[in-house]
Amino acid sequence: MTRILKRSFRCAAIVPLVLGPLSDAVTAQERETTADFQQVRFRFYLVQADGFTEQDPEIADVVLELRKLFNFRGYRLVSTPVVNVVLEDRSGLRRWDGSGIQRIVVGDAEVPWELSVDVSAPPSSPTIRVDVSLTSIVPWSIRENAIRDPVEVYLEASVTIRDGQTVVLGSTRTSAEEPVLILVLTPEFDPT
Amino acid sequence: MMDNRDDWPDAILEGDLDSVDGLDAEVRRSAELIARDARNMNAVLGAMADRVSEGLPQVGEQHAAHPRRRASLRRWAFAPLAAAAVVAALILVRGGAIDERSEPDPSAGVPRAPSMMAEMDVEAVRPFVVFPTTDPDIAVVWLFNSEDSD
Repeated sequence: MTRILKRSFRCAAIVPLVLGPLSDAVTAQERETTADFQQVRFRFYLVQADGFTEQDPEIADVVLELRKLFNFRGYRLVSTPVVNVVLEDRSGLRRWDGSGIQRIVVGDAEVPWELSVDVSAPPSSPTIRVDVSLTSIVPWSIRENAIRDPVEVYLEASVTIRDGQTVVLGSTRTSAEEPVLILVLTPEFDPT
Repeated sequence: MMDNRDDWPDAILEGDLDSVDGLDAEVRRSAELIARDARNMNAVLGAMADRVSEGLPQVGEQHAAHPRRRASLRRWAFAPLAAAAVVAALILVRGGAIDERSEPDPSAGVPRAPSMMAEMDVEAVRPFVVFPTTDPDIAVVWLFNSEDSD
């Protein structure tokens, strides 16, 4: 009986010693696999400023901060584009890159606008470098050549940002008669 | 043809549209647009001036401006100077220096998340100003339009 108990104790001590390193190896392999790329979802809010009295719950927190800074007479949500970007090492330089484009229609504009995002970051970095541009485009049908060039750059900036932070980019407008436009962006790392 | 803002009376730039009652609809519409642009720019400059005044040292009573004139002077006379000062301050104060505090931090020794303002490193072709907000995870980058600088 004593021998059986001793053998049981030895087995109980050996099993974790054997499985411990194996489990660590599996965890390390899983970690290495998931670090090969990263998904980032950019939520944009295109907002018109001045002249609106409606309350839009989707931009309530941003409007609250804008009201503390500026005296614009109200804000209105115009468009809510979402751009999904996959960051991965494409150049072999241990740096992740990715990009995404989304077309949006602003108000009564006949031609859609183009929202483009270029992202770069060190692998598994808590911050990403984002180049955002909001431009107009001209349909292929009225272009003489096959190269598509943006006609006008409405907003363009580069920022470094973390998961869940919000950057408010202002301002632009399509013409002097139109209200000011503000672009709000929030990245979400590894969205579920 | 009153193409330049300098051609318009100050009353119109300040939003007093009653002074153009006798003019035709097109001129009145132009006056409304200019008044709105001036209001928008004043909103931005006012916010910038407030940011600058928060960082200015306290002025002694004997040197303080008359309280009745202080608010109007801040917005109308000092706005261009405040705009230049805040832009210079934002350029000079880098690397989280804005968040430095003189009093001892009760949470000393606890790792703190970097300031959003310190990390943003904004780049843009157009002139811009960065505003922090009361929410540490929200910041405003205001790009100036070319017509705003005329």
